[in-house]
Amino acid sequence: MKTKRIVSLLMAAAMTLSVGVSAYATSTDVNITTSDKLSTGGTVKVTGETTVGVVKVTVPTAGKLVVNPYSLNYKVDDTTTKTDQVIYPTQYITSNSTASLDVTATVAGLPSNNAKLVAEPFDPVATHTAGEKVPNNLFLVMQTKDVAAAATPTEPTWTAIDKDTDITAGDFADDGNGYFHALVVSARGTATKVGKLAASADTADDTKQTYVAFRLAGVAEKNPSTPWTDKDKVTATIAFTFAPTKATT
Amino acid sequence: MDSQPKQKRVSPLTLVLIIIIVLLAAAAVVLAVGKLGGDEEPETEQLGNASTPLIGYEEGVTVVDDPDALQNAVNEAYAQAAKNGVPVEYQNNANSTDGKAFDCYIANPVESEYDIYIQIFADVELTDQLYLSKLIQPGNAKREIQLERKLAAGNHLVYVVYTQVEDDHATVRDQAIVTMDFVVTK
Repeated sequence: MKTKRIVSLLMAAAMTLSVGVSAYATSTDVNITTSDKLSTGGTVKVTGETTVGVVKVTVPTAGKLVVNPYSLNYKVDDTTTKTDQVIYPTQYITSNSTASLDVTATVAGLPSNNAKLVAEPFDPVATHTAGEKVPNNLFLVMQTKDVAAAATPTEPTWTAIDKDTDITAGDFADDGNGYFHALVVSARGTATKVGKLAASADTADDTKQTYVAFRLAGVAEKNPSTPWTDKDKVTATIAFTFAPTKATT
Repeated sequence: MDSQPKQKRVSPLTLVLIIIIVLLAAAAVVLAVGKLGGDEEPETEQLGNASTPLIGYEEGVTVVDDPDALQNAVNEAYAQAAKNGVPVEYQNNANSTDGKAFDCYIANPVESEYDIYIQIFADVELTDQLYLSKLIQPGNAKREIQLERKLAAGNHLVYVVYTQVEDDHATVRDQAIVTMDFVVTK
């Protein structure tokens, strides 16, 4: 009977000790073993760890911009014929991050030879007076759109860029249709939001990848005084910033 | 008595000269007609109606008005867009107390298929290089870097260029640019 009682006491002590140990992780300060000491003070040193979000995205490869100023026919697949003056296939930023990411971007264009980037939309087939000096103008816009999670992204239905496009010089802005757009001109704007990459529900599952789609579109002067040549080009540099989305309270 | 007037005689030399002149004149006419008639292509070609300006052909023009070349360029653009992009993995902030040695996390993701190297620039024009790494294999990361020059105290937006290289380690396959915040606290 006495042995049994000693064993019980020892077990109780062990349980208390074990509870005491789990109350603090590491400590070089006062050991707290009873609740009365907790209430009167003493210090508990907690070794903390902060996990900073890791950005894990795939940035598209450098795209190829084709200018087709004379609106010649071309095919994008076996059935679809187009005549766009600015051709840039839609590209996608893919996220495999555990955190939701805000995407900001800046874009700047560098024209070469006779090509000129302009800040105002224009009618590419407008009539010009005889003798008028007509530059090789190019009105170029970058558009972006969030795309839902899927194994393969669905291409957005892009808003057409034409002489009636309502856009002012400056940074990316909502175009009123749920898309963001910005002029591509020589001066680079301030980084502004262009989309949001939702957190991947399962980073090991490709069908849970999320996307921000983007493309370049625009119009080109069809009747410049100096004919277009293959030396008249534009290159554009796009810089993306990804930051974990801040929680809103 | 003779009443007929004497006929003027043309000397042989004069006759030869006349023949030469006539021949030269004829040749000139032929040349002029040939130029106008033309085998030679006209310098300009009128398109559209009278209000459309003339479009002349510059030397070297092949691509822009060539439907086949356009389709080839379009096919190339679509093929380029379909290529796998550059996977990047990093933490947005890097920190330093001296402006030169930074704690950071810049990785070549494990799923990447190519070695990369990293360049860090202070400007978006990519002219002011702060750092150049050696090759980084997939699944490896830089956690500390030493810049080529010190940054002043404060926050600096830098441009990080990921460059993928082919297996020969000499051919650039692709590049992507992202930004990071380099924070110097002294």
